[in-house]
Amino acid sequence: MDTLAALLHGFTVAATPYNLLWAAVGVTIGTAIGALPGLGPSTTVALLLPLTYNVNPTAAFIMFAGIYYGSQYGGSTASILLNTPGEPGAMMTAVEGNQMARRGRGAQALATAAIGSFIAGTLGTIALTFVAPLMVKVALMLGAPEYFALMVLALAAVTAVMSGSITKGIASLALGLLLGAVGLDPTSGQPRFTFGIMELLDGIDVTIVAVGLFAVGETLFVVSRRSSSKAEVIAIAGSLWMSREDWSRSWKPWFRGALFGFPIGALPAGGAEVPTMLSYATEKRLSRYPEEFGHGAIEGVAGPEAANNASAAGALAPLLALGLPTSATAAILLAAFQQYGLRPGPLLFDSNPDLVWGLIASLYIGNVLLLLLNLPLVGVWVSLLKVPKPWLYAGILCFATLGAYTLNNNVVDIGMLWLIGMMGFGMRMLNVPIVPCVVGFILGPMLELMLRRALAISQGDPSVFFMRPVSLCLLLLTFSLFLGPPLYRWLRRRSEAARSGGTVA
Amino acid sequence: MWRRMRQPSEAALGVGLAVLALWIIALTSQLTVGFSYDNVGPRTVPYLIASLLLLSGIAIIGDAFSRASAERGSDDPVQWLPIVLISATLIFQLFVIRQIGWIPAATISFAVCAFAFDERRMLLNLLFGFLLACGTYILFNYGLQLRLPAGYLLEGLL
Repeated sequence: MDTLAALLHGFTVAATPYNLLWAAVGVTIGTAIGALPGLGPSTTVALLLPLTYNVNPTAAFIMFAGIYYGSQYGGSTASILLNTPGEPGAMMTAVEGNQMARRGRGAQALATAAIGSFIAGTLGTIALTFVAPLMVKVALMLGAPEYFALMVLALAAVTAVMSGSITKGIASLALGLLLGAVGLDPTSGQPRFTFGIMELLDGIDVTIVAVGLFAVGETLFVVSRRSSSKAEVIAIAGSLWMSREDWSRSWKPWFRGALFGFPIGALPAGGAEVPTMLSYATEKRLSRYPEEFGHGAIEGVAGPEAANNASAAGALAPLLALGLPTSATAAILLAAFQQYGLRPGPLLFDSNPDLVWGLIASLYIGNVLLLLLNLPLVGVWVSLLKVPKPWLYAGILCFATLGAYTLNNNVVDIGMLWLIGMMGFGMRMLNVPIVPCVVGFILGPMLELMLRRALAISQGDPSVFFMRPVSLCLLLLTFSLFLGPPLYRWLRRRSEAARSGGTVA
Repeated sequence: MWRRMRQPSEAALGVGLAVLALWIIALTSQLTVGFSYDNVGPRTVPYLIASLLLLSGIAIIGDAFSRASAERGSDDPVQWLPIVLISATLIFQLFVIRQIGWIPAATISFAVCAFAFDERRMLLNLLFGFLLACGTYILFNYGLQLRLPAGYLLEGLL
């Protein structure tokens, strides 16, 4: 009952005209920017961070939640009609939805994606409402060593899951940790890696890192390739409505997708990639028309898109309850909290119930707004897809500099933006994954704080991490993440070698 | 040819990471430590980061020599001129945004950036850039109370 009362209170916060306005602004801008080709939710959220510098925290986070959810909806439009998934979570939607659009069923693909996102987003938000307070109870029992182990696990998981090559993933993570260490050491007050530059004493701002790596790096990468292949927007033709058959083939995948998305999204390693893949594979196996998959099966859009949105809600649970981001977007949201001097985690539920529950309530509202915004107005978003590439990227770059400059009204930040953009470009060129770097940058300082706090309590004895059962388990899990796959491969190779050796002999 | 190029770039990445690691160790060793209540001190985490960099750098060098081009990049040659142009717009803004103001700086940057993307209709580029710059200026300065620089020209006019 407690939870319901808190949620009700949240609605009274979120439903004030002022906050409703920010929610509406957030979902609209989120959809619009998310629909621009190649811009995924994390880039969108990072680019739009400056909009809220002067807004009060509750309204700012209500708007952010709208941007977060809205960019997912907008992203599905770009994936379906243009085949440009902005993020790995949208990959399956792009594969199957674009095939549907090519067969003249673009409207149905967009509809099943929007309605599925609404249902899964709402289910995910309900789950978030009840899971987050439980997580808070668990979180209150965790000490510094457990938090440290949990963060190590989250970092390891992001590195292992998001990287094609584990060595490059670790390199990316280390670069992120290094960027995070720039500035005054919070415990001893010593400047580290600042090279006597005053502006670096406060550390590098997250907007600079996220926008530099994602937006500027991406722009430089695209311009250096100047690919001749031109993506084509597929016009929507034929019936705009989902037929009875479309509905009957969609509703089960929506629910199953939500079931995959939320729990996996809430795990430290989660993200959106794994649940969307699982949902796609499941729907293909369960479908009565498996031969249609790969040629525009509606289940292949409905399921993964639902899973994608539910995982976005899932990622908010550990973010709000533990202060632990499980995806790049969640990491940027965490940094946004920090900009307001707020620390997500168990204490936030006590100290700022208005903000937390207003935010959760606004997710319900945002989902309804998004459904209204995306079904009738889809034509508006489609026209955004037609923005020519030169102007699109020129605009992105202008927005990036604007965000960097308005941070502190300081030109040094523009220089940092360029440097980090060049770094992002280099990483893209050499196939070094970017997400571990961003998450490492944001978690790094917290990780160091917990490490030092834990060792201060244990008076410098590092065995504290291995003597406490919870932190020991978490650390063992971390090791298995890295050692598991190579060990498995080695064992398989050995058994294969044994088998082939047997046939030869 | 690109395939042969690929391995040296991988090896260079590994060497770069290792050099960076050594540099961090050198910088970190100059930090002073001296608080007894702080068991870890400001050096430990930088040393950890450096060892991660060193390890991954060495592993990447190893991969570059042992693995036969496992992953291949795109075959398009890298175009350096547009990168220089776009870098120039950012550095240009860095130096002039305060003096000439957001609107002219953003207009010029937008146009040059679009030019770098092969859009050669400069007048059109400038027009769109100008509209975008004015729009964001009005939105940020009047709607969101953030201060984009007006520049001497606009300040004179107002």
